Amino acid sequence: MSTTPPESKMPIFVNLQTNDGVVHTVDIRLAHQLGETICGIMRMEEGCYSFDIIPLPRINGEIMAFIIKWCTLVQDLEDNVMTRSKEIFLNLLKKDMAQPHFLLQLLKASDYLGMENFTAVGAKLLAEAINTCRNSEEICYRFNVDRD
Amino acid sequence: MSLLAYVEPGESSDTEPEAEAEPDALVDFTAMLRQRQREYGGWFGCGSKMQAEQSDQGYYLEQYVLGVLDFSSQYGIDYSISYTAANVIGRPTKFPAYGDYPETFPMVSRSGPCRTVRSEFPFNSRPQRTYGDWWQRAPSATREIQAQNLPKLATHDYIVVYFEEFVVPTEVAIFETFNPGAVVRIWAYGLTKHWTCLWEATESDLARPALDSRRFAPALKKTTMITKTLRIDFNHSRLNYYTEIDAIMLCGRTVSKTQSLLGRQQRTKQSHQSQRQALVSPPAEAAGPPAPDGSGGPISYKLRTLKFQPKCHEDGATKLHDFINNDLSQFLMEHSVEGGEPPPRVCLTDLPFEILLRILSYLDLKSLFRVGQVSRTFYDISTHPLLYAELSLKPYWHVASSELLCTLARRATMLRKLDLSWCGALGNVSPTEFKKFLTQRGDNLTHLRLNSCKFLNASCIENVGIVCDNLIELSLRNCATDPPLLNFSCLANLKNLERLDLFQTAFETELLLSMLEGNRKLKHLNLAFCGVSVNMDNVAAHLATYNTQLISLDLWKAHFLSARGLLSLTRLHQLEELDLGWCLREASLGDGLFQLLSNCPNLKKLFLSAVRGTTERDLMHIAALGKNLEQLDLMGILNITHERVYDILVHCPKLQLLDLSFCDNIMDRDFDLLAEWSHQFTVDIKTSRRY
Repeated sequence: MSTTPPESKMPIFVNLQTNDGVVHTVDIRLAHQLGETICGIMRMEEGCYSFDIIPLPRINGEIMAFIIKWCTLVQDLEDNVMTRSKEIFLNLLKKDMAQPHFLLQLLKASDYLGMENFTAVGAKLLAEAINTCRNSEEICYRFNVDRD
Repeated sequence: MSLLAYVEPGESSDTEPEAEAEPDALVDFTAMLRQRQREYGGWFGCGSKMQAEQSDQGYYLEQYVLGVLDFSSQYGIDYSISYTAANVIGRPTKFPAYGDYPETFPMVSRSGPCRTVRSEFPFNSRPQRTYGDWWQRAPSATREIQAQNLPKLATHDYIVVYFEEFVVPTEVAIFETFNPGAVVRIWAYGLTKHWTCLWEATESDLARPALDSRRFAPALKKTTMITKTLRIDFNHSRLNYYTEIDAIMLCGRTVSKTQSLLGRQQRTKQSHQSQRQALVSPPAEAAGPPAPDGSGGPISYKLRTLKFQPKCHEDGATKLHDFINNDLSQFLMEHSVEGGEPPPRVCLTDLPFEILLRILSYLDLKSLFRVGQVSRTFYDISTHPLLYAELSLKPYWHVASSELLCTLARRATMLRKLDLSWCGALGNVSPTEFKKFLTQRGDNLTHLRLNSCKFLNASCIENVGIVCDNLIELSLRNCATDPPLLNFSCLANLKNLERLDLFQTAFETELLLSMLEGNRKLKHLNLAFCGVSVNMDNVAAHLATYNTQLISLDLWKAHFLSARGLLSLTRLHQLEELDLGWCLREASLGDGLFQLLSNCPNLKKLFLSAVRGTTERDLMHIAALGKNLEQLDLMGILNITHERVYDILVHCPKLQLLDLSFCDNIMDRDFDLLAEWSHQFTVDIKTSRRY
């Protein structure tokens, strides 16, 4: 997936604009980790001198910031990737004191972006959160589910 | 395995409570004792059955095991008394002494009894055949099915014991005399035919206790149940070596009026049953609104957590009126949703179906059922057959029932792996239901584990043979009954087996031989404890002819394996694991071991426990040829000297485990040396060092 393009052609960063107008500048190496969607767009644009802003209308700034943070921490992991990336995810969530619905939004975003690892880890964490619920009402309550 | 009869409560021999003393004479004494009991709360000493007081509630009683109902594995064999589960019966005999009390080795050589005959009988029970994680590291290791169902401290083995008198349990004491710390759960079987967990180990309990004998009596859950049957769960992953139990004591208050209490228990049983329905039956089945405890949103949820239970008495309406007029505003103020920006209403159901399915795939079965009760959408997702491709009811052995099987049968249309081990004890699962399940869902099964399943009868096994012809793994551990279950040809119908586990299960040799002939791809075979009737030499000859792809072979305590049989085994060139513990006895190995080591260069695990025919030359061969050896058990081998040990340590670079227990030639003075070498070569060396 990562090509070694001639230096003059490939910019070293990528601009991503989320639906709240915020532009996130991201290293090219990191950008490749951000899933199939972005990679696909970048590939299409290959040959251009610089990228303008890649719009991500389905994602808001907060989510993007979190994902970028996670990718930065995870990209250098070599072994034990699954467990360590899960820990990192959890720590980041705790730091932000995130509510369960934040995790839901993260999962939606990562599915949209096509990020396999992130989705896997997020799903696992969400499953663990569900496991801790002692009955179905708690699940309803925590995750905003309407009963029917 | 001989199951001692379980005495039904109704038919009990109605042992009269201890001779009723004159109430008058006991008046002051009783009051005093009651007082003292409250102060000390428990164990009074030498542990005989003691009548501390008598009241209309019965008396306080301490009792030891009367009999063993079931166990998942043990170190010894039934007809011997060494290290068997039956050794927990009765009072402790070794406690508080600490150590491994060996059986009387059959040490009679041609020249008479050996000098080191021990006359002590082993009064300890080794409730499991394994210790540490060595078995998980061996080539024969298996993967758990639906591993997410397992609790953090999974149960590896268990023992079910019964006592004489019904009591309301206040204390359960387990006398551990060797390598304590394996007990992880204590269950009690009540009159309502339900199992209750009285105690469960937490992380902090796991810190390995001091290597000394101990009377382990953890704090039990408060309960009013009546029981005389206990199940103790063991987890050996942190053990250094085998654990041993000398006795189990059940303390509690007897009930003089069992019958009336039975009535009370029946009513509790009904409420238990409705709870179980909640686990089993999803809302849609009733084609109506979900279970009564499911309606409403955050406020009703909040009310429930506050245990707000409006009772509709005559003045119920007034009470409600009062609440609305006086307390409601207060309540709302306390629990109002925060003002300002409402949080974005992202709902779990906003996620795409595949993601939700993936999330649910990580859930254990119980949570999955719970999620299914949340809403219609979730019911549909949680019943998707992809979530039921692997099913394990082993961790739910205590609630597994025919109706649960029935419910699961509806969902498990893509079932590939099934584990019903330990289920159905005491009649909760019927053979009919199991056969129905199998007929509906068994034809695509690749892995089937039915260890210690009490509901299995002959027609169940027949069904397995007929329906499940795609099986590559079949595990029927601990199915030993008399007459043996496995004595009909339907199982020979299976032709794709790669793993066959018949640990502690009796079978007809003819059937086994025809199965071996039919399953040429067999890789793992476990025939440990298979009993006296099997001629192992024949089996070995068959293996050499038909099953040359064999990777692991466990013949622990197999009888009638001779040097000839061993020579047959040398034709299994793919062998990586071979357990010949207690086989061959004093028989000379000839050059069998040499041939084995030469022909099987991939050998990683070799257990020669108590194979006394092993000579010094054999040990030299091990050193010379055991390049890939990782686990080596030489327990009880007489000719070992510390020079040979050094040889092996130097020449087997991959060695991780070396068991030299009861090697009488290794002197006490050598133990320090061994400890040093253990450190130097990073090999875990087990010795019979007396501490």
